[in-house]
Amino acid sequence: MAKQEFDRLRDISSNIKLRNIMLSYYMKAKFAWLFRKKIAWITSGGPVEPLIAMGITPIYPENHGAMIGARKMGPELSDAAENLGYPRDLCSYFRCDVGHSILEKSPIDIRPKILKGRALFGGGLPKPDVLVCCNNICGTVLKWYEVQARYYNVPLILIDTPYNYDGATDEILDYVTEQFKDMIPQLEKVTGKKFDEKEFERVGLLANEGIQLWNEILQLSGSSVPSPMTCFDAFFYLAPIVTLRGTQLVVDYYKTLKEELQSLADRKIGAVKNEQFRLVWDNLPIWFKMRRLSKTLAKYNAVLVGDTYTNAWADNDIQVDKPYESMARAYSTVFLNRNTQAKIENMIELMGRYKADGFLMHSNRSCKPYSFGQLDIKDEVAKRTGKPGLMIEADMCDPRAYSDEQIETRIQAFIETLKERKEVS
Amino acid sequence: MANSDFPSLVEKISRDPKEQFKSLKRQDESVFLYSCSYVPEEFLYAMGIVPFRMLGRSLNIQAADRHFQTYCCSQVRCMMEDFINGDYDEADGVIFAHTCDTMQQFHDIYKKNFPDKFVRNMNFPARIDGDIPFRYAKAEAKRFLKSLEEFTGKPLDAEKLAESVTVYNKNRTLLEKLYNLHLKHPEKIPSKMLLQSVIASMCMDKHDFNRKISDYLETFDANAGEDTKRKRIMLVGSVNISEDVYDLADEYGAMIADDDMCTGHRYFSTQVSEPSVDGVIKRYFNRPHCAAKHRDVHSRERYLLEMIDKKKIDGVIFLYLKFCDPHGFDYPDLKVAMENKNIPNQFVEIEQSSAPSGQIRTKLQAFVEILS
Ligand code: SF4
Ligand code: SF4
Repeated sequence: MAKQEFDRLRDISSNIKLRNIMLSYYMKAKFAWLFRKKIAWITSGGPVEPLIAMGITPIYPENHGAMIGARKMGPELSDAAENLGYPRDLCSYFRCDVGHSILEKSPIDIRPKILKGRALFGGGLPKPDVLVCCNNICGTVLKWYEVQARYYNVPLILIDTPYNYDGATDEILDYVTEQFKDMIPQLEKVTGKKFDEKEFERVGLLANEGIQLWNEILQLSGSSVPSPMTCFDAFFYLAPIVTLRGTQLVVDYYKTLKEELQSLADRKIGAVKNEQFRLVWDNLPIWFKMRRLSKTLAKYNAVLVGDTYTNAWADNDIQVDKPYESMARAYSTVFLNRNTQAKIENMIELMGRYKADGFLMHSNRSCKPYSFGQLDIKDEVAKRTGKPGLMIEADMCDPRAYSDEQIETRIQAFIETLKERKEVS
Repeated sequence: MANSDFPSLVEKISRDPKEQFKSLKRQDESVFLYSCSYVPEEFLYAMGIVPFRMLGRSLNIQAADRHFQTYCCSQVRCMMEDFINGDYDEADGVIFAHTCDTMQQFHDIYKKNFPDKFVRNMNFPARIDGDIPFRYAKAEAKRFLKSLEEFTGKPLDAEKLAESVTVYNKNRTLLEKLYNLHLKHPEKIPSKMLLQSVIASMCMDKHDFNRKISDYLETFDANAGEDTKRKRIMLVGSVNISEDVYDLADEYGAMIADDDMCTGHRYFSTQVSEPSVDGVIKRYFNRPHCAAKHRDVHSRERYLLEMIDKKKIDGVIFLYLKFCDPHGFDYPDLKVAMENKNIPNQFVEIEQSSAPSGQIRTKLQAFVEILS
């Protein structure tokens, strides 16, 4: 039964479409050089709009990291990085990225038969012409991009978005605005082209539209009882808003997805057949256990109705009359750049809005800024919502310290608690 | 040699800073704890506050486990343990500065759990590579200052700031002198005294410290003596409070000749060139930087090679505090840079809460043998 339920969503047309979109995105990127297009590697929270406006192909090593995790290539690629001396305690996206650079191995391999299994132009991501790093998600990316800037010997454009200890102060906003303005001539140097303000405006509006739709999709699903999609689906549908934000393709794609989900919601078809327990997820997915965890939860009629991670891309707003200033605000105030108290409020709000019965926290060894604070968040959210939470320790890409039995036993016990509470009330 | 209580003083204070903290409080000083060297101490000092560096000491972590997962660096976990134990309840304020992800989260967690404490953060930029971050840092310093002024109830006095800068600059010169004298007199100034002095300096009223160290340094004839023939080791890393590596280096006939550590040379390197708010901030843009800051992608490598050359260093030990991400990221490329110049180097992992491990001893011994 569980398998059927899991595959049901896989049948909706948006899934096949998504696979095609992502395939063609990576194919085009691989062959970008044929069209004299420049490649930029950019962090997931990075300002992609100016890049798209300049015809630069953005590549997201973090999205690639997720693919590596899902394909269970994490240990092999990590090992390569660890052999160079990188501690195992560093973010596994980074370790996988470095490992993939040296080994030229990755889920993105074009290996035509004619080459007898050898990769065409080397396996993995197309090599960068420039690196664009915005530290609004973590300080890790700054160090990561420094390493890769040395490895590929390419320029590094940095956007430093100070953490909102005391909110997004004027000082922060001025600083980030200045950096955005400063970024343009740097991009012009990379491409040898003049920046086109009009095109930037067009891309900005498309980005807004895509973000708006993504937001609506999350809201629609989370607010519907039963929920037509789980977070396991959302983690998958997230790829376009991260990688292709600012293009018409994304807008069209999310329109279709939204319609399909709306139709499921109207017909009260849930992602999990007998939805009983609605849960909110915190932190990155455990990419190598998506299927198994999804089945485990479905077995107990539990569904992940919302999460803090996919929401991180749900509230940018670029204003045409003040593009740099509004971009500064949008990029400085992303979820991970807000302080812990703001994260608590966000979580409580999500729990209420999505009528959640409890929450699951992934204490992610890879992601220190996302994970430190969770213990305090857990206490306060539980106290203020009256709903229990469960914390499981894992890593998004590195399965080497993961035990199925241990985690599943804990989930089972947690569901038991939820059951008892439901019976009492 | 004339008598000076400096060696025993710094030994005592660096080994038991909690006691030093209490004694400052007994003298009725206003004491602020600060998280790292990116907190502009000169401002606090100019306002009549004694800045006191928080360095976690609790060896047995229990209570902090309820706030930090085990994959957090022991420096922060120990500090949290100290705080929960109430060791610093009497602190008048706690100041953080932005550095790494862990410290960032520590600020939030601390603030949440100690809501009555005066907690502020100097939101220092991650970039220190030019005018744009410099302009921001200056603006942020002013914002930060304003919040201090609210606390003290009076504006920062320019003259007081100038005095404070003089005291701090003098402190830097004196510590620099100590490091240089150590190269000539390793028998009188054991390696561990470098660490002890820097830590004591971080936990004392700078004026008092300067007096003590001046008296001590005067007992040496700066021109006498030759640089020793001992093999010279440089330490590279973030925070370390253990004397082990220093002792072992001496024991095996080598010496710790210099370092690039937060609890070492990075703390006192580079003078403030102009006694003003902007001048204090400018120093951070000229100073050898922490791995969590970005000057350019080769700046740390350049600095290390320069120092290795200048101080005639024979080998480098990367003293890696487990889970300290910024330094973990830098290590492999720095190691390659060393290898390209045939500079012997060794990676040593440390954890603050653990007792000296036999492994460190074996590693040190083998390393010193390679150097000879
Ligand atoms: S540390 Fe966290 S936010 Fe940063 S790249 Fe890794 S997973 Fe992403
Ligand atoms: S820089 Fe390193 S030692 Fe310092 S708080 Fe961060 S992780 Fe810990």
